Amino acid sequence: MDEERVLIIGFDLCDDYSQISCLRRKNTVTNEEPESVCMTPDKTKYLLPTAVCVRENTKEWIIGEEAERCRDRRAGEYVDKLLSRFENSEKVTIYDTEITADVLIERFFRKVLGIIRQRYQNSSILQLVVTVPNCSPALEDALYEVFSRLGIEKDRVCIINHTLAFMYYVVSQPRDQWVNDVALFDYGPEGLHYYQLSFGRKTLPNTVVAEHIDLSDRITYDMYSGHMSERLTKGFETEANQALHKKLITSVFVAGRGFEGVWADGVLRSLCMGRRVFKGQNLYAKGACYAARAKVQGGLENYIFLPEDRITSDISLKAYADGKEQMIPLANVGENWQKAGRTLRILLDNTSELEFLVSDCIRRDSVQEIVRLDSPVKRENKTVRLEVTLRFEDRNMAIVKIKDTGFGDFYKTNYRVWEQILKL
Amino acid sequence: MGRVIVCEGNRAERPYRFRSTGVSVYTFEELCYYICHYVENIGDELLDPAVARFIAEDLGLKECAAKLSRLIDVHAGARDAIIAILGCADFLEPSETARVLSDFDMLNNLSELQRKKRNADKSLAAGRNREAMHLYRDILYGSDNSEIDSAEYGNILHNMAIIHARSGAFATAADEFREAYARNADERTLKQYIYALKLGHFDDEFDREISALSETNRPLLDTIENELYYATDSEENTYDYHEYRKLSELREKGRVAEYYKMADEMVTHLKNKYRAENG
Repeated sequence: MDEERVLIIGFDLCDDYSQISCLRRKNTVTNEEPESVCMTPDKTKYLLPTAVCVRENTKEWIIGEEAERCRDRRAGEYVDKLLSRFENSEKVTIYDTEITADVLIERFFRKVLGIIRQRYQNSSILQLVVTVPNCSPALEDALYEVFSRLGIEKDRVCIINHTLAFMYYVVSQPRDQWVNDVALFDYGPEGLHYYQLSFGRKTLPNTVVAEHIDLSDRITYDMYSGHMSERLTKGFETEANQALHKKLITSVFVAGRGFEGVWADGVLRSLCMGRRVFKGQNLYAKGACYAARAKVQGGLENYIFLPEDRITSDISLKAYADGKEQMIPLANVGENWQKAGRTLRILLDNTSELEFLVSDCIRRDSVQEIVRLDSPVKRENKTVRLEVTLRFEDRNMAIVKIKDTGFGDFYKTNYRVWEQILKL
Repeated sequence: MGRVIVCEGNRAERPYRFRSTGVSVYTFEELCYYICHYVENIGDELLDPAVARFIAEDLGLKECAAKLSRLIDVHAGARDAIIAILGCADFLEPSETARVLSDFDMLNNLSELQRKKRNADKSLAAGRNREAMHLYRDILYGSDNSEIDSAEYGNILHNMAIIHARSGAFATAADEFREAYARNADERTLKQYIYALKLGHFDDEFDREISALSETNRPLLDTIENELYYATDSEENTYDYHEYRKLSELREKGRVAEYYKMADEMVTHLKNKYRAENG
């Protein structure tokens, strides 16, 4: 029951390490800040290896430092990189038993969430947001399935990517930190990546848009792990200055294990001219926790969050339905481009044109796109039935495909197909 | 001004097949199309609970199905069913729905024989000559032909004559046209009779009728002469006429083998054409 569910959790799930941030809701609204959860007595160690270990003697499943010690003593079977194994649907053999990756990650979550609940006097989870570096629809669905097996259904859990977690983090900070654009440098096993958040504040709802630049071909993780300090420092300085050149940036955040140590401190100090610079590891976990809090108690309804995988335009088709002419939505702002789109069946009534409307929420303009069907099928009026499908190749490219489907036994299809790219 | 109409409901995995016509429909729009185009066959079958079930379960349009079910429960008529179904769809404009209902009302007032003639005329117009002939004969020589008046009898004979003329039986066609004219006194029938005489090469009868017309109906005679002139002129430009001329030349020149080969090809072509037109 809701009154017993008080835990609001942000869970940053990465392939090597995970981090957790937690809030306990009191009454209906909490303005507390999320606190980072440590799985060890050492309160400075927030990083939890994304790994499990099975003790040889008791076959008990353990996690964290205990699991690492067990591994080091060769007293158990240790399995790490649970996220990538899960994404690849791998199987492992532990003491002659084949175990699938979804079972491994389920065990991991069960242990971690159980420990958290104990820490908070056996409170139940009110809302959980899990953030992962890249969230494909397949990964999202698979994680929901795992959580369902743990008794946490979609009303209490949400999967988001790191960019969206970062957005929630930023808008939950004091306003003076995001007066203008905000930059993020993320340096980890996938190399260096740059994100820039822009805020559209002229109308409601305000838009929060992320642009992403992949710098991993120039700054690889090998440069950090290979101790190429000088080259890395110079390389980062060049890329950072280029990325921020002539941009109005209020705050710069750096995150990821690649920024551990002091090699970047000099560059970061130089970036402080007219900006605030923040360095930290738990940015995504806290952002996820802020997102979970917003789901529970609101407060961010005036914002549309548009990370790099979300479309920024509404696309609709002008058509007659329910007794009136109207714009039928085919895709909406904020949808994941990999999932966005729709198929509609229509009839042509004395026309061979389809009129689409593309409304961009950032530019705040609308463009009419007419698709003319050259050489449409010559049939009796209102028997040319078409299947109209909108899909996206990426966030900025929508393709509409129109297929003649015939009209039942009255008129067979002639298999005619038209395709057109819509300008976004 | 054109428009795009959004289709409603689902496409059924298995269609609904109307017993009276054998026509199958898979979607709501096809059902509406069927009602519009087969309105003379819309009887109580539309009030079959199976239709309501099809609309609800296969097409997913529960509200429309519920409306139809309510009508079935109160033993409403087919007209009400048509209004209920077409009213649920964006397929027709109100004026088009009114026209469908008007046709339905008109057909409902037709006698059985009138309905049969309407079906036969539709078959003739669609080129289904054998089917049309069967229906016309059923009307004229069936047990229940007492209500046919002389003019209607003549009109039916006229259509039968057309079918015979299309198949080249000009003698039969001429006889039927003549009898039809005697019954319906329609100039169009008289004209067709004269054309049948011409096409059948019944020259004496043709000349006699033309001479009579010059005394009794000059305007009709002028029309016939113009149409014959135009038809003859057009015929000489057709592919078939050219082939016929080549055949005649082959015979005149004594090129026997080529003549017979070409004649065989022309006969085959004409047979295939006849079969295609007559089902």
